[in-house]
Amino acid sequence: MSRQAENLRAEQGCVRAIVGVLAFALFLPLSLATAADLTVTVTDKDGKPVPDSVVFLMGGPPTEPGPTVKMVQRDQSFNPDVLAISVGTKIEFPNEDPFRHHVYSFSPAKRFELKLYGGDEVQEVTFDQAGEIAMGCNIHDDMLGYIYVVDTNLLGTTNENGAATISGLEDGSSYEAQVWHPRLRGPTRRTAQTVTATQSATIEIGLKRDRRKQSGSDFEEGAY
Amino acid sequence: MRPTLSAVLLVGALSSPVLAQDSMPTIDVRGLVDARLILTDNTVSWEDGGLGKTRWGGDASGDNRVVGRIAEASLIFLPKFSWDWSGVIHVKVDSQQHQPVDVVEAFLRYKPVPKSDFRYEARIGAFFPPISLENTGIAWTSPYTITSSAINSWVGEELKTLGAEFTVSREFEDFDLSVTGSAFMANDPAGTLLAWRGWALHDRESGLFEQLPLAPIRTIESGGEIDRQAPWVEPFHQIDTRIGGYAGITLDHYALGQLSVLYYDNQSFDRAFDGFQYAWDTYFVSAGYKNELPGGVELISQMMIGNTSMGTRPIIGSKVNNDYWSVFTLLSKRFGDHRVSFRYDHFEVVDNDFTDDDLNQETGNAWTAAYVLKPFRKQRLTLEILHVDSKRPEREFLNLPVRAKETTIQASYRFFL
Repeated sequence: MSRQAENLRAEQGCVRAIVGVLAFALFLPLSLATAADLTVTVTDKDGKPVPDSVVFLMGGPPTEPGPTVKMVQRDQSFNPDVLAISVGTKIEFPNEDPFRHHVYSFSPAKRFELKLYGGDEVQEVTFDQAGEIAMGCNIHDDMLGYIYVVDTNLLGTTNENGAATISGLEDGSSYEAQVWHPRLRGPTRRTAQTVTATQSATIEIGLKRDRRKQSGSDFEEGAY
Repeated sequence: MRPTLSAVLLVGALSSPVLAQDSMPTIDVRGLVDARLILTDNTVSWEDGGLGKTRWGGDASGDNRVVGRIAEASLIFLPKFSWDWSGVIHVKVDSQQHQPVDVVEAFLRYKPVPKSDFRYEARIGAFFPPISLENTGIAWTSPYTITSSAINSWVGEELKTLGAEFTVSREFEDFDLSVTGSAFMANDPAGTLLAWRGWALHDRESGLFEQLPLAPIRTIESGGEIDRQAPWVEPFHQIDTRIGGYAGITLDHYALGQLSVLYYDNQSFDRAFDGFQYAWDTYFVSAGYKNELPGGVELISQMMIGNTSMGTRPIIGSKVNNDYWSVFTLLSKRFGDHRVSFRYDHFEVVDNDFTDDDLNQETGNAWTAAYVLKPFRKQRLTLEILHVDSKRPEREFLNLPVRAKETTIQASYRFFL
């Protein structure tokens, strides 16, 4: 390789580097501003993490239906216990138990009744109204599950550590975060707190006692 | 009776648990076998013609013994006729019951899917009144102990609804409220055992065609005041033409726990007699409370107070008139596959009549400790120590000590279908 050619390559590399740095300097803040994450941790009054809390932010772009999700009947319980979706989303109800379930809801946000034989059948329901939906099984009285439908795509459900991460927020903007939990005290079972994107937030909620049985069927169970 | 039962058993044996996509009607089959090793007390059990309080007692010469028994083999058929209509048929074999095979419960249930906060449920047939908070396991077993409390032992042996029951429940923000009512026939001799044997603690629920033995107490022996009574009780016999009933209410609060109260009256005509069994006018109030205490300790407590009477004599009233009451408290905690439970029972019978050869006065206490292990799926091992300390003056006339202190140690191995 000639010396000239070497110089040219070095020059080109230099230009590329400058362009790269410029591009980085110009576009990085822009990309940060359009895609901030927010992690909300929900705790009870003792500071213990609260799983299965629905966290959602109002004031985002117009709501679009989310991808179809599943509410599975397994071990005589609903899995997950709480499923949060955006308005217009479909939920499939597979029955993985070797016996039937008769799932129903009479909640104003969605009344439905599903006769779930199991096997490969797929039954789905579209939830087109925001609100809480409590579900039971007419065959297994102890089964209790919740669907929470929100009019936003900015939503999450807290994990075992009480944390939910919501992406696609505007950096630095403030939002009103709402938290819903089936055992939250108060008629709407909801509480609100202002949060700022890119920061993490902790929201404390007051919970009623959980008197539900441990999930899962027991072979000794005599409530037939 | 027997050919029909064999047919039912055969149908059950041939049908497997429900498969996906089956069309209704279908039938599910569940069941259990309980193999038992028992170290008995030397007091002779009421089951063997004595006045002992436990299911297994000493032999005829008054010695304690070690016995191995199939304490119970039960099959439960669960037909589903539609999504709203289902049934339960519980068929049992045990080493002490009168019939080789007997029906413990058999009923049809209508339970429509709720359309509002109200739920409705109706049952028609033969079933236990909703009193026991202990016997929530399959085949009316207890998840806590082998032996039921004095109250629920009596419910299991002498009470059965042969009729219809209707329950309506409503969910509120913090609690569920349910109201139940029933009308039933038969069950006229209920109360006989509480009077002439007194309370007992066991796990042998009666079938519909059961005969339970009575000790040779003076009043029913030849020459006694009531010697036309057979030396056994058929608890579900229809003797008079009256309809009995019960009404109950249950309040289940998320924090305060579950409280149930039930009033029962078999409305028997206490002078009715069908040749060897009398009708006993028996009524009681039963109350039960259940909650989970801090630390995951389950608390169950029940009480029952009532009266039973039969026969009539000029001026002085009933031939037999006894008040009875009992209370128990059970504490239990589960540690994964292990469970430990303790229970204390107190029971009494107060004799109000003036019949000389009929001394039914009784008072007693019982302590139960049980350890349950579920080593594998569908298997359960239980070790239990039961101690009953009771005084019954009538024992003196059978040449027995008035006060009996009985201890039974049992190991039970259950296999579930």
